[in-house]
Amino acid sequence: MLNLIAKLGQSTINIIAMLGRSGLMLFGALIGKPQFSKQFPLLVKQFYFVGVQSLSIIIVSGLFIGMVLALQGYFILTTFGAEASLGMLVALALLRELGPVVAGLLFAGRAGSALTAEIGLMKATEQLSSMEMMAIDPLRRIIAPRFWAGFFCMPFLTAIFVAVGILGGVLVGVDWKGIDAGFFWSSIQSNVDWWHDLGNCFIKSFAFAIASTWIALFNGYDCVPTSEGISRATTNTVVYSSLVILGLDFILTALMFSN
Amino acid sequence: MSRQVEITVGFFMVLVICSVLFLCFRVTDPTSFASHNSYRVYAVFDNIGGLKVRSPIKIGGVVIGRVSNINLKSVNDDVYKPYVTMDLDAQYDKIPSSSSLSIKTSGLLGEQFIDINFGLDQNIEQELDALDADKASTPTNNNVNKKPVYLIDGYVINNTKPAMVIEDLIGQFLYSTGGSSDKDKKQDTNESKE
Repeated sequence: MLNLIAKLGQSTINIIAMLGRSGLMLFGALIGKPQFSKQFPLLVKQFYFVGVQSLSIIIVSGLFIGMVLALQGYFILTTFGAEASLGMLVALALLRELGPVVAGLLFAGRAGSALTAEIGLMKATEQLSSMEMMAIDPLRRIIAPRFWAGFFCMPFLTAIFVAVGILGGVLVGVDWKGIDAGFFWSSIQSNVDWWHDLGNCFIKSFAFAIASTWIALFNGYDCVPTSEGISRATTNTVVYSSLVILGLDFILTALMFSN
Repeated sequence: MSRQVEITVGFFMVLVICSVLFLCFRVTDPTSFASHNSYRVYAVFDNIGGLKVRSPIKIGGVVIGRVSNINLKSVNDDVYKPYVTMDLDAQYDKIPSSSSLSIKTSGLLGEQFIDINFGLDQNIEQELDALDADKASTPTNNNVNKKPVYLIDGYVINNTKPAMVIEDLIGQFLYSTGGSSDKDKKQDTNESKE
């Protein structure tokens, strides 16, 4: 019994210590004098690894999600004779929920796991320690550009995801099922609000970007430097990021759309 | 390698900018955030039915503003009544202040909106004022007390019709048919007596 309580206390202390280490890591990476000439090429390279290489999965899944949403919506709406508002359904569903969440989950699976594995291997092969030996701060050199790349790329990818999804909805609704294009676009434009839908979509997306990039970087940076530790850290990244994204999504939705 | 990376990242950024522009100008209505100038008018209703914040305000079917707030307020120490705050587009500033508001439903099951019915138009009002001025000896006093001709910022509209609540309508219908059938019966009995 006493052992159980002791274990509980130990795991609580471990969790709090981990939170503290992750905060210190982010603080050390982001706070400091910016050196744009040195950091910009690193940032461009990370944009390539984090953003451009996730592009194909984002575009393909966005297209299919938009198409399937339009098809299912069409089948339901047509029983009420309300298929003219299919555009509104597709656009609002993508902007409010599916866009940020699905893009975030795909991003965590595609880019987050890659970041964790890369940094974990750097730690296991002692590249991080050798950088410190050469008086290069690995936090500034390795963590910071990856964090900023994730922070900016995920909302960018969300925008592409939503745009492609709406075009997929147009493909199914207008070109296949023959809804009038004017009805389709006017129902989108009259119901999508500039700030309430589009702005909140990007706020959600930035929040998910911070959370999932932070989790990915910290799991890599804090992993046990063995092959087993790296594999566990990579799994943890995908699981924790997905859970945090879904949980944050509920909280943000409750705050944004409660009235 | 580095050159190629830069070029692909450039293409990525172009794609991002295109999709953001698409979302801003094709998916949302670009005019909705261009003209944010509005003026605020208040209205007191007896019953607002299913009216919500952000419900549209229409004149002849054209949306000219939105409901920005709904709360209860006692005006002039009266009982609490629904107090609706409305933001009207500033370009429509020639709405007579004698207009009346009614809450209507778009379609059979659609959402509810506020319809503005024009009251007396400005010219007639001025003519009436002129008639008053002929009779009254002190026209300047009249001008001071006169209400504004058009709706202005902060104006409170009291000339409103409550929303139609379908349960009340059914209730009234049932009572009225019940009442009329009673009358018919009475008439029938009278006739039979005669």
